[in-house]
Amino acid sequence: MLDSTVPSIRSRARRLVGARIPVVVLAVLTAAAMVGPLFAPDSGSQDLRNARAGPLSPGHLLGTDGYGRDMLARTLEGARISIFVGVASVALCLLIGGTLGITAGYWKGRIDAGIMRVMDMVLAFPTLILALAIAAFLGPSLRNVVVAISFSTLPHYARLARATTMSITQRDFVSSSALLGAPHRHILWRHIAPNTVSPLLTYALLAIGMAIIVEASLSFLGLGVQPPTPSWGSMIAEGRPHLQGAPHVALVPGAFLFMVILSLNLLADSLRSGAPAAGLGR
Amino acid sequence: MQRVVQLVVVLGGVSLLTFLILNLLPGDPGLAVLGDNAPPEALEAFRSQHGLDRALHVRYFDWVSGAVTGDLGTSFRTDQPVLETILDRVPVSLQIVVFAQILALLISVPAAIACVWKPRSWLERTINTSAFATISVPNFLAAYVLILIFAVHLGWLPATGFSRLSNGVVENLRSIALPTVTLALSQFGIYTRVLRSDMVDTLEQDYVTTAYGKGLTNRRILVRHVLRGSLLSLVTVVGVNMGVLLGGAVITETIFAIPGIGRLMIEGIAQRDLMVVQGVVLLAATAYVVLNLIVDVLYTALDPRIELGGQRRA
Amino acid sequence: MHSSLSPSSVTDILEVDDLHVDFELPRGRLHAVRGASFSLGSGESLGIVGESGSGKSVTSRAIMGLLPATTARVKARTLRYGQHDLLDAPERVMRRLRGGEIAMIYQDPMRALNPIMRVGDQVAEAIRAHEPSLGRKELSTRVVGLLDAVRIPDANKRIRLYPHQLSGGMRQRIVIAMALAANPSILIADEPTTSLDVTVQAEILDLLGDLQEERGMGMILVTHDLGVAAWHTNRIMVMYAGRGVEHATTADLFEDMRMPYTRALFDSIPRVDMPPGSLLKSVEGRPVDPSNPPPGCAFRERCHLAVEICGTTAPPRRQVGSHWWDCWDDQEEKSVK
Repeated sequence: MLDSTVPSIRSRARRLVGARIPVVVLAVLTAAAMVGPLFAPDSGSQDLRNARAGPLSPGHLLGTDGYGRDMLARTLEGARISIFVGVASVALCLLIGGTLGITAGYWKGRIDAGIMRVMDMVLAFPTLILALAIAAFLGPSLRNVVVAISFSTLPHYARLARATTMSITQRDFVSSSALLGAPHRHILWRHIAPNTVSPLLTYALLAIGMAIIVEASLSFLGLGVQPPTPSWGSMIAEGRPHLQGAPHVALVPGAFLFMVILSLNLLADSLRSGAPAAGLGR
Repeated sequence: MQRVVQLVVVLGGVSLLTFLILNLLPGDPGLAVLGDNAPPEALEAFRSQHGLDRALHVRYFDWVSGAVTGDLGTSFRTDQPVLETILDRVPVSLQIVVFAQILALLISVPAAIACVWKPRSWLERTINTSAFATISVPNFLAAYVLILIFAVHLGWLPATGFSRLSNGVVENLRSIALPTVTLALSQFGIYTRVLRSDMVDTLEQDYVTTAYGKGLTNRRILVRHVLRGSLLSLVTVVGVNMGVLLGGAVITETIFAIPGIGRLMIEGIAQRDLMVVQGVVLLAATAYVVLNLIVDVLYTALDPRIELGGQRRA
Repeated sequence: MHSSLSPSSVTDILEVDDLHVDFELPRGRLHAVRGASFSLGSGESLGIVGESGSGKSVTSRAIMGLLPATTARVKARTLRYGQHDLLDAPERVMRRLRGGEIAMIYQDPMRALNPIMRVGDQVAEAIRAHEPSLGRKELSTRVVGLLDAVRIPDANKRIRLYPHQLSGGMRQRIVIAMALAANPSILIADEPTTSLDVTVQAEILDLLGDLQEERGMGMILVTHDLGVAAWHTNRIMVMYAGRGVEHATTADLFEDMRMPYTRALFDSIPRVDMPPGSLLKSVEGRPVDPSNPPPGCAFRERCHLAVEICGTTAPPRRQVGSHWWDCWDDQEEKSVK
């Protein structure tokens, strides 16, 4: 007879490892991104005589790009952009989306209907298309990328916070403290907000990966961070003409992007086993 | 009927949001189109020609009432009707998206079945790992690797460009092969995982035990009972993906220089052609909403307990 | 030891001797069945009675080979249907036996039926599993015939419905029709009426009894309700904590209950003559933890007749004719009321 997969001790061990490796990868990368620029060669200095040098060439661990700039330095600086966009947009969404969702879920009625209708409308747009439209007409800049990503992903946070809030308000300790005449502020801060944190944070892990992909996509299309500031997306786009002959120019930032997304997905997967990982269909 | 009303309301909101985002944002489309040094008279003429001198709400109602009758305005650049330009690109995007979905499903469904058929085998581990990996591969990376292998090294397929069907079937298929595989690859992981996870849940259902008790073969139980009872999430995800992709597989179309909807949007943005971008965004959102509606209708076909509108009876 | 000298028994078509079922669960090993033994003659009806957790359902699923292979460990001295060793039979043979020779009726028809398949198709599937060559037309005639046999009116129309469009009683009739599809020799009914309304319960039990007699099937009626078992069984075995504790012909058992647990079950039967609103007496105390059964008699902590020896040594099996029971009841002061 066929069996559904019952978690065995071995798979639990694998999950522990599965959680630890991505944490290490992400930590090392973050540290390198923060400290790296102090040690690596200047990411902006061009050296056309030494352009498209392959990985492991003298002085350039990961080679150089089409202008002879050091790939390692640029990739690490790109990592800072990715991390910043990922964390900033998700933090913004947690704050705004979380507040909107809790408000809607707690007061219900008209406020709920109003907020959620607007959210549904935003949700009716494919994420990337909406982010593209906003970024395009706000003008390309790091700040605008964060705004575009935050705006187009906001509804997911609001929905999650609302659903969690609604289930919490139905629990005994909340209704009893409401009966005892506790003020809204107290209930919201003491009971509801803390309980929405855990599901929102789990989602945030996946969302950081998604935000990083959208940022890379925008930069790839020239609508994100402007050159010469390196972003993984724009680096990958710049590597396109070098695919023949010097594929590392595109593949190095691509591999880093892959590593980060994979780590975030693994981490989210180990936290919430069984849930499908993030992936942005395009 | 209720669904149709809901659809109209959502589309109304979508059009309003599209219009507001693109029209309230800073930047004078006239300046953008005619150049920063354009004389004031030319700007004035441009504005009145495209009705930009009218009040915001007048312009919105003009645009929406036009959209309802199939008129999305004319391009700032080419003075071509926007709808015509879009309809010219739709078949290109549609072909790639549909082919990619079919390809992804052709691989994912057997892969998910294999995972349930032989749990904890090397086959399951391989499928699981590759599904997880492909989910994490960004499209540009997949596209580049495919170009490197099949265009640069092997030289089997063209790296970029699109050949219309009228230029011959073989050329057409060769030109869409890499973009199709790129898109399919990113879906494969998602579909396999969604379906597998649902099938694992369905296996626990009592009616599967009943099916064993009847003396059915494993194959029949898997296909008729387990697979059939596990399609809801897959259909949802496929529907949402189709909706997203119909609005343009922007990245993929850009990399492979495919003249589809996504490419049109990028061109419109680059040329600051407000009307084109507005039209594409509206179309993308409409496609997305309509596909979600189709998914809802499919639900009722897949699960007779679900009535149109989403409620499930006991 | 498990003499099955029942009056109706000609040959034992099913023999279960010293059946053990363990489940390997993440939190440890669970001994669900600890040495159950019984047999069934063709055309005979056996009731297996016990509380939930007594191992009666697991026993019936072990016979069918329906326990999850990854977690369940089934062992037995004998587990035999006709000439087939059910522990060693290849999957191909088991598939032929399941539904074909031994069929099962489940507790909750709503869950046992596939919610997204027409009931007619579900019955047809059960027939075709054992007669693959059947034509479409014959098949549908057979399906309608089966639905008629389980007294479903308007069978022609009902076959097109989905489970949620039928009442609980109708659903259970469909499950019964599915079980009868391939003319099995043994019908295992696992709590067939527990999820049904009281009025419908009687109808279903009557139907089962009639079908069993008409078709000469052997039947195992698994239930927690001694009253249900009394209806259409020749013999009854009472199970507690994974093993049989008392066994007799149905008539003998109700005449002379020897094991205190049986008596307690009897006292918990709902009766028509009870004043409306009066509380049902359930068996006092909690069933033992099957992962860690105590030494001695498993029932002693709930038994108001327990004496010292019950706590130290497993009770001996007493036997009078076909009536046997496990109890230290021969102690002078401990005669059962």
